[in-house]
Amino acid sequence: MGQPVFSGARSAALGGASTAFPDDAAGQVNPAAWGQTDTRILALHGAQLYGLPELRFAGLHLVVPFQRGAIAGGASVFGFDLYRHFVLGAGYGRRFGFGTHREVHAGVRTEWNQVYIANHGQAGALGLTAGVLLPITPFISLGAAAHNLTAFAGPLRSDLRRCLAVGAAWRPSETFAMTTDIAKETRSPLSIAAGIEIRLTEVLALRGGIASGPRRASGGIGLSLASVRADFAVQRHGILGWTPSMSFLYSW
Amino acid sequence: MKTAILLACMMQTANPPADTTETATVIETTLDVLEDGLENSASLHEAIEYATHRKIRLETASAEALRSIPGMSEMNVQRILAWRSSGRSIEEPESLLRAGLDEHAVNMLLPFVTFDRAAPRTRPRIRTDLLQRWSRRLDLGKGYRKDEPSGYLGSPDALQWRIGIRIGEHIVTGITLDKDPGEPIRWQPSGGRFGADFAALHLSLDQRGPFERIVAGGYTVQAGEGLAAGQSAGGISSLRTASVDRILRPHTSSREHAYFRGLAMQSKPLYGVSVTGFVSYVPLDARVDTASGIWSLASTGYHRTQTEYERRGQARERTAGGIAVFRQGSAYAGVLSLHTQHMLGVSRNMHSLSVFGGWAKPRWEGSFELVPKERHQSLTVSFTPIANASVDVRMRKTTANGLRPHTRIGVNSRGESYRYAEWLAESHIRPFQAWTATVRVRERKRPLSLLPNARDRFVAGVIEYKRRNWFTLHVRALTQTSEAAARCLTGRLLLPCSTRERRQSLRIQIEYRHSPSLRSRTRIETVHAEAEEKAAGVLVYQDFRWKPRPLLQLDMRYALFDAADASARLYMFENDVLYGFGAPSFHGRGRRWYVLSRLEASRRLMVQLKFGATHYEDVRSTGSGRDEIPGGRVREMKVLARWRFGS
Repeated sequence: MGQPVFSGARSAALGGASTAFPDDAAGQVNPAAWGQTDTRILALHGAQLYGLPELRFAGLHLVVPFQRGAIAGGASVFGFDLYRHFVLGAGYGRRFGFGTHREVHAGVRTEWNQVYIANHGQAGALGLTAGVLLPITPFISLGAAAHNLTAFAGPLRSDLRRCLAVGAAWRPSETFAMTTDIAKETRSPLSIAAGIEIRLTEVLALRGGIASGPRRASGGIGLSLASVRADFAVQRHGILGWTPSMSFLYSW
Repeated sequence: MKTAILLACMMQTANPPADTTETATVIETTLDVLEDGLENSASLHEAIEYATHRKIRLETASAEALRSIPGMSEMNVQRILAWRSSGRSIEEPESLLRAGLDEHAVNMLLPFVTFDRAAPRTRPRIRTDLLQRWSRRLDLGKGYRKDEPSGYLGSPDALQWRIGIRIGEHIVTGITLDKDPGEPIRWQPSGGRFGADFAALHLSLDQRGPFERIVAGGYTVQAGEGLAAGQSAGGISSLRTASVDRILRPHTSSREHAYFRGLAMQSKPLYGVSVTGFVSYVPLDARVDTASGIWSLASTGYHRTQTEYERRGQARERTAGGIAVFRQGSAYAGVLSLHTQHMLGVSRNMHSLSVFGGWAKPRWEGSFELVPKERHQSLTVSFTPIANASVDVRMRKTTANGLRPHTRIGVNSRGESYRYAEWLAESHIRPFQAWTATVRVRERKRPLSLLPNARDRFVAGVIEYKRRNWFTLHVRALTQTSEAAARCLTGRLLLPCSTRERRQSLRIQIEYRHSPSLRSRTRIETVHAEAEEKAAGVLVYQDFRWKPRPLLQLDMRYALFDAADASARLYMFENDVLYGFGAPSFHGRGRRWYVLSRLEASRRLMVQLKFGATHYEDVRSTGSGRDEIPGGRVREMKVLARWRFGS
């Protein structure tokens, strides 16, 4: 489950470089995103990897803030009849002051991963992910997320992808943001991603991004209408082709 | 030069009942620059920690006290003295800048000094520190199996006890007992075994009658640039310059070699003249190669197997020496005479006479040591052409004859000569506010029997951006080449040839201090190595230091590493429990994490707990020989308690 499209079309459009710039109801990129949420969010994500109907993804997530942080929960499914990957997750994020008026956002997510393979049965594992978001100035923030920091139970626990992603984001104004991520998975080479977001109007935002490991380029748009936001993205892999994705968020 | 200065300070500190966790940030960057010069860092760590706990008041400190501050050069001592003698005060760090010190030097000094004008607190009449440390690997190699005939003699527990007693200002005594993993606990008073494998005892008296210091028991001596009397025969990276004022230092460390045991005295019979005399008798681990008859000394201190146990104390080292130093203002000159006798069947003697000296001007500083008989030479020069730039150069040349205390010069375990010529240059430039650039170059020419022109070269460039005290960006680029003699298969013949290893690394580190209770650090490092094959490595880590309560501190790190082989290894400094030190290297593919907690449970009791684990991916076993562990997981745990009475 390492594709940026799984965390929403906005992240996918930025090339996945959103560890320090999260706006992610699923908490897939950085669960610290939940700590900066002030409203309830219901999010629906969908993607079709490389245009293949067998690699469809769909996810539904809900974030509910309360006085001492926010709780989140959701489910997603990926695959087709012969291979299916279910994820059921829950998490918690909140703000911390650590003795100053400036805030640190932190979050944890635990999720049960269940894989079904036709004629082979099914197996699962429980993983724990933690993330932190450090807004060091009004314009610059740093983020880090350790995915599947530890796996508690289940026969697949040694197969969960373990990844440490660190990122930085620069947002000199409300209309412009530039973000970059460096991620290392234990079994993959270092991956570097960068993205840019330009908000043309209050309604429309343009996004673009590039990433390595595997090398890909992406782009997308975001539409914000009152409490509804729709994001669309496409991602281009040199060999495997295009991946469209979309997200709908409703906040109240 | 920063390292050299820090190393220099070691000899100026006395008994260190110290805490090493707090100093990690002080020395970490320095140690990181020198990946191959870490062998003495544990004791350096202790010495610096001690200095942080005896902060010196800049407003009133004597020249001698100023010189004892880690990182304080003679040039800066003169600047402070000149500033004070002009009637101006030093009430804040900016005063030091106005006195002529650069910001880099001021930042180095801050942990060790105070600007407080109030009278220092009166020391307690008697202060006692009792420290107990236990550590153990939770995943054990086959050497610990009971059915293993050539296994280790003892348990995998590492134990250490330290007792340090300070009576008033002038009397310090202490005992250190140490047992390494695999060593047995044996009580054989007749054989000199008193439970723990290693025991060190010392009694130090300061300012008694005509004597500046008297030390009985374990001690170390440092004079000149460490050529004739030092703790190591290593190169410049482990060189320590002389402390003219504190030549003797009690040996409190658990390090089982490179120290003297006996009696030493330092006195100042005349104004500006210091005289030191010492005698020592130390058993050393040694073995004799039955084929060649060549004997060699072992410095690991391990006595875990029957073979290691049998070489314990096989050789004896007798040493007698004297040092005379004359100081006039900021210049000094000295002479050292040393006689060492190693006995293992046949006794071997070495007599060494060295001359050393040093001087300082507002923009110049230099020191040297010459050992005429053995043609050893060392020279250090520091130059500050303008306020925001400094240049430090150090050169050293040794020949391969003779013996030295604690080691045998001539050949190492690989049959390579210790003869070398080496130079080190380092320059700090501060072109803009908050920006510092450092360039460090070191070259060592080390003729080997099969490779007369072998050279090792090290070039590092560091750029640091520090925004006030809460944000630091650190970028380091390093390239390192080393040559070694080897035998290569040519046709059907193994012929002499040379191998060359080149390592290049790039490190980016961001440190953010959110508040006094939270600090985060992110590091990304890549390494490219060319040895027999090309290899690459990458390291990413994130760590936090969190103080949820004033008395509780947590250090946490999570790291992922991926290095194709040992030539692309990656180093990470780790915070550790008191008197522990870790700068392990990693290769292969995996992850490393640890949590270190420190709790000041009461005014007298401090407790530390560390748990760490390294997980290697896709391996069947880790380690080798008796330490081979099935699977890819290596976990360790450390617990330490320090009781302090009288403070």
